[in-house]
Amino acid sequence: MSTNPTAVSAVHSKPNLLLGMLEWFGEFGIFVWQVLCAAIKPPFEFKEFVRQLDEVGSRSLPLVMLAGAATGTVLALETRQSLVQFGAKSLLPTTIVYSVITEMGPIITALVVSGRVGAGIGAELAAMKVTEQIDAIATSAVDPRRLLASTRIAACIIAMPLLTLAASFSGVFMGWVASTLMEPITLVRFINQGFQGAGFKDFLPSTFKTCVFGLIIGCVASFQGMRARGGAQGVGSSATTSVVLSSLFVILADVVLVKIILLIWS
Amino acid sequence: MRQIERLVMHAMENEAQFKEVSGENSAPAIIVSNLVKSFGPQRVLDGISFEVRRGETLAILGRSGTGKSVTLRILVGLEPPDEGNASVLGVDMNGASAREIDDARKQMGFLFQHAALYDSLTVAENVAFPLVHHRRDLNAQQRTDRVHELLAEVGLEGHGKKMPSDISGGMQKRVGLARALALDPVVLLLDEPTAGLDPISSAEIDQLVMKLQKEYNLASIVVTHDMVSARTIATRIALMDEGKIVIEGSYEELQQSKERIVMEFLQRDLEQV
Amino acid sequence: MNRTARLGAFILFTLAILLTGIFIIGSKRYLFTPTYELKAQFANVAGLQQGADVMVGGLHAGTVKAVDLPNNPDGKLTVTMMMNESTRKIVRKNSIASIETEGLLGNQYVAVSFGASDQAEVKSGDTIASVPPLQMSELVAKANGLLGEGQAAMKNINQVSEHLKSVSAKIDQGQGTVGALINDRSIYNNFDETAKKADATVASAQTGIKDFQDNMEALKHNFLLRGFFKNRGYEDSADLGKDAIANAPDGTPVKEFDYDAKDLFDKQDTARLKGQKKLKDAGEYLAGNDFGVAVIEIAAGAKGSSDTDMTLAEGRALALRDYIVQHYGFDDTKLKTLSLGKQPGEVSKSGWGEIKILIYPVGTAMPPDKNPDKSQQDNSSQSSR
Repeated sequence: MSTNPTAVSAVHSKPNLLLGMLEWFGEFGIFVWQVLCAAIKPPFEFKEFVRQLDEVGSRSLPLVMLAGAATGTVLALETRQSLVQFGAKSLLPTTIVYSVITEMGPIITALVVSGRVGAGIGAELAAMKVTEQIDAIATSAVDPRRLLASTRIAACIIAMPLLTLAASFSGVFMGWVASTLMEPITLVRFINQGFQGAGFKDFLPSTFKTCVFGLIIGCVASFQGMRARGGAQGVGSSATTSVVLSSLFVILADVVLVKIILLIWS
Repeated sequence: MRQIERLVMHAMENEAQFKEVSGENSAPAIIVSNLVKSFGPQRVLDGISFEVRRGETLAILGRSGTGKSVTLRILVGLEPPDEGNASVLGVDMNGASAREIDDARKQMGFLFQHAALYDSLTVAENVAFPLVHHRRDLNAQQRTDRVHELLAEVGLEGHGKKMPSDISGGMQKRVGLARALALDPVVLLLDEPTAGLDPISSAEIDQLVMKLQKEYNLASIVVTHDMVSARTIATRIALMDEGKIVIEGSYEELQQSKERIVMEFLQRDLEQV
Repeated sequence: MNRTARLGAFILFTLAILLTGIFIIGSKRYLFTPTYELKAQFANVAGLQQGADVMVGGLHAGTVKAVDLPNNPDGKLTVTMMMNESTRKIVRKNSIASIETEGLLGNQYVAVSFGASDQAEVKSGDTIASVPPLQMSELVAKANGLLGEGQAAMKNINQVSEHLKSVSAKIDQGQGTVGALINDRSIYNNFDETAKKADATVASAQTGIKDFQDNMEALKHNFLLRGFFKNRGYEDSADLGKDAIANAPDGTPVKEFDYDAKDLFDKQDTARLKGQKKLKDAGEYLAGNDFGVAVIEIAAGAKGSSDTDMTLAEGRALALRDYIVQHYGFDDTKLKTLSLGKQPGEVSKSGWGEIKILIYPVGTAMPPDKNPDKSQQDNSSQSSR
């Protein structure tokens, strides 16, 4: 009895890719709208939000910083090679700082978070869905979209720029470490040179554009989780789909956002 | 059938007088009329109707996959029916506004087949969940007291700190019951309360449900395929087959039925006993 | 660590990074140090951009806040700079702002010179004097001028040394009073030595000039700068006016080709040829017929005979002449140029100026050169040594 009969009918219906995609977007749009409507009405689920912010933010911090550090190191090693070829070795700090704070930090963070948190939310909510916990919340007269989805989405939106800052920080720092190991340069001089010509328009928009990434990751993962069907397999496919789709949408959104930022600030 | 209904109503009236409950009792707490629900080509519900008043327990019996659980899900507003109406405490669970439905849900307790405890919360937090969200007038101490009370009611004092995954299936069901009762409901819906439990645990759950039924003067529906359990806790039994209610009445009335499916169910029951 | 503490640490840590980032970038923009505003006006900012550095004594001391275009055509561009307060003691009313380039092809920055200590300190919003930015084109023009000056100086030194030699010879022979008075050879020796030194100086000067010429030549062919010379239309400013004549030859031309400058040149202000094919008639005529003198007569545009216009006319004449000579072989000594400057009365339709190629019959007297020293330059510099 626990398996939902709709899952059976979904299998029976002829899979039409285009129609399926349109349906997905339609359902997704309705879901996001409902979550938005639910989220703005009090009471706010502050406790759950804090729990999720901790889950998405603090617990992702080590992983994100590690990814940022690796990016900074690789960037230093790789760009140094090409800069030396062009005799522009002195541009190394600028190159590292600029690439890390404008693009590498945000996108690496977004991909790491969509992997870790997207899978986490997708699987957690899917498991709750298939074990009827989400139904139990609804029958307790609590809107699961507000309690579960909106808090997770909000946590993603808040945590993303903060994690990006941490990733950029460790990226720049490890960029310096890698540079100074190849050719000694003091941290102060590295920072001074690196931020030469970097303005707020390079730093703030690219950091806070990750709020949009957070929104995407949170919405896609919550949606995929809450529409899960079936048992363990449904949970697994829900987690996989939310990671794949949120990573894809994050990258696509980045293209649009970069274009918008360039339009507004230059 | 009419005769049966008349008899039941008569019994209900007597009971109501006996218990001296409010005038709300005069109208049925749950009215289901002509429900139809299909999943794809499969017609799970094919026009079922029944009413349940306070103090009554209706057991819906039937083979697995005959739409018993779907009926409960429609009653609590988790699933929309294709046709027909399901109203609880005067609220149409599929036509009313979200706010009205939520108000009705606050007066309903629902025990899921697998208890559906929140596995990220402790037993006590699970029981406290409805209180946290709907009884904002309670302070932390009052809430803890009420949770203790509820856990004592289901015989689980001292298990509050455990996680749902650390307790047995029977205990999970009891926690689910405690959670369902947290807001002093008028209507209690139980989905397979004894499924997957050993006979002793099943008997315990049955006793518990009966006790609570008496204490809270509930209008309850128990979905089950366990005739023993149905006979123990229900005031009336409805037998479902192929999306329809074959027969509705007391256990004794069922015994007199000559319907094949009814006889098969009773046969099995006798074998078990 | 419990959840709340961990979350608090996370938020504080990341916010600290945010504030550090804001502070680092802000301090580059002098957001957190007291600043004052300084303005300077330039006719041309040579690509200076908002956010560029301002250097005082070679030290980073501010940023360019804005570069504003003037309101009317007679105005100048205003460069507004945010200066670090600490430079206020150094920058005075007579400080001069100049736009300079990092290296040969780097970014532009503004350099503000130290003021005189007796001058008043600047107030916020003051405008200080400026010098126009050094541009590559001017650099090349200056280099050419220097080259000419160097050669003239060399000639002078040569003359002086000649004189010195003759004087010393006379003294040596005991001629004149000096010779009579001084019978000591030591003075002669001294003179002789001086003359030798002068010679050596001249030689090293010439080597220097030669080196410079080589460098210029290399620059002209460097791929980065080639565009500049290519756009200008001719490579060597020294060749300008080399074949110019002072006035038109006597007599009437047998043939006349008229062109509008617009049809022949790329832009109104360059000597870069565009419509070379239009010159075919004239070129073939010159190559196929015997003639006395041919003159490329260039009238500058409507604006007048300012120096730049004269240079332009001369450049164009040179470019035309080179093209015709290279493509239609004939005795190029008979092809002369004549720049008329402002066109009297008639102005070409486009306002770019008119160009005529006038061909005079055999026997026409060659008019005098406009710049006799220039046309002989090659000969004289060769014969002097």
